Amino acid sequence: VGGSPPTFDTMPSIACVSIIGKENQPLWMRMYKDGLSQEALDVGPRFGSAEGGGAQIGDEDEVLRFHFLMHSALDIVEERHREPLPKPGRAVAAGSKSQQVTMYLGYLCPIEEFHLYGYVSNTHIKFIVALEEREGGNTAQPELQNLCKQMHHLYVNQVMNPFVSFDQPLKSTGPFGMELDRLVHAFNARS
Amino acid sequence: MASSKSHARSGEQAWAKMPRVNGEFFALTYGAMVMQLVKDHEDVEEVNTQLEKMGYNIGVRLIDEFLAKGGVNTQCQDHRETADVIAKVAFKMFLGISADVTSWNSAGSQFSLLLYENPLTEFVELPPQYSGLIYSNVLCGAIRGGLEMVGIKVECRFVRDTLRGDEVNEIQVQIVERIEETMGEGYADNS
Repeated sequence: VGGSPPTFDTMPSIACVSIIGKENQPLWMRMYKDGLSQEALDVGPRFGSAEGGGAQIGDEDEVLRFHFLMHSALDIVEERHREPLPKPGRAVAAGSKSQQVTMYLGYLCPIEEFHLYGYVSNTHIKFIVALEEREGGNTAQPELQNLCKQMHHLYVNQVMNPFVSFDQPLKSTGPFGMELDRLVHAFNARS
Repeated sequence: MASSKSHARSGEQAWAKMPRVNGEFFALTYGAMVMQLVKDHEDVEEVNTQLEKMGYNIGVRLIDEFLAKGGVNTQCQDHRETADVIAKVAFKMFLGISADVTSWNSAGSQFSLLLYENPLTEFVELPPQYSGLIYSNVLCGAIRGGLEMVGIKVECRFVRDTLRGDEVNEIQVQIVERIEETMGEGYADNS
């Protein structure tokens, strides 16, 4: 009697996004929850200050946990991303499937309560997305591929700035960060 | 005196005939050059001076190209027309953008060029430590160089800059004097 009908939350939402550079150094990391986002790159004395931008979703432990998750994902990314060596004696036809290098790696692995998805660019920039696990949800997320592509585009535009260097972390405030946050929130808000 | 509309038309026609280059490539090239200058000279003011000098060298060469291919065949009758030609024909022909002439002073010796878009700064965000950098100062130098070759001495500077948070780019052009054509010292009559 009364009350709202039970909603099936089958659409998992993104909990964390990180961009990892060529030398496996973290360039960008942000946590997302309930329409808020929080800087997760720096764990240290500056943590919790207004510099990072964003609301407080989790404490230092949460942030460290995400760092750990992302790091674990890197092994799997490396494994999947390695190009298959051509077998000797076999002529490889142009455009054959074995030669295709796809950037979207898709579902990587489950860690704790998250599903991790990966996307690696040709320049070995890795985008790792952690989705909250939902019961009954399947691990294929076709829209995620599109999201990764858009993130990649944003990253490319950011890197075209001559003042941005490749091995330094990216600033979360500013158009790049805001646009990326907006993409993630839009993804999370879809029903 | 040719009307502003016909100048705009000349500009469009000239732009259509010029060989093109990829805009991103152009922006990246300029960005790389500015970055190198920044690295070579510690002082931001020095970089601004260098950019102006480079612009000047470009301007003294560009003016011949402009007069040959710009499609403006009549001599400008007064400074107002000169300003109009710079804004509507020259900027259009070389950068593909159309500028506006505003803010004439009462003596008619100073005006402003408003640029709503700037292909040089396509992906650029100025980091705070370079807030004194006039990124597009090469444009000021080019205007100065070009006009000097046709006998008008000017001083140009940026008074508003989108990279520093303003809505438009505004270059203030101060007409100093008309340069009299004088014979060199070697021709002086010594008798």
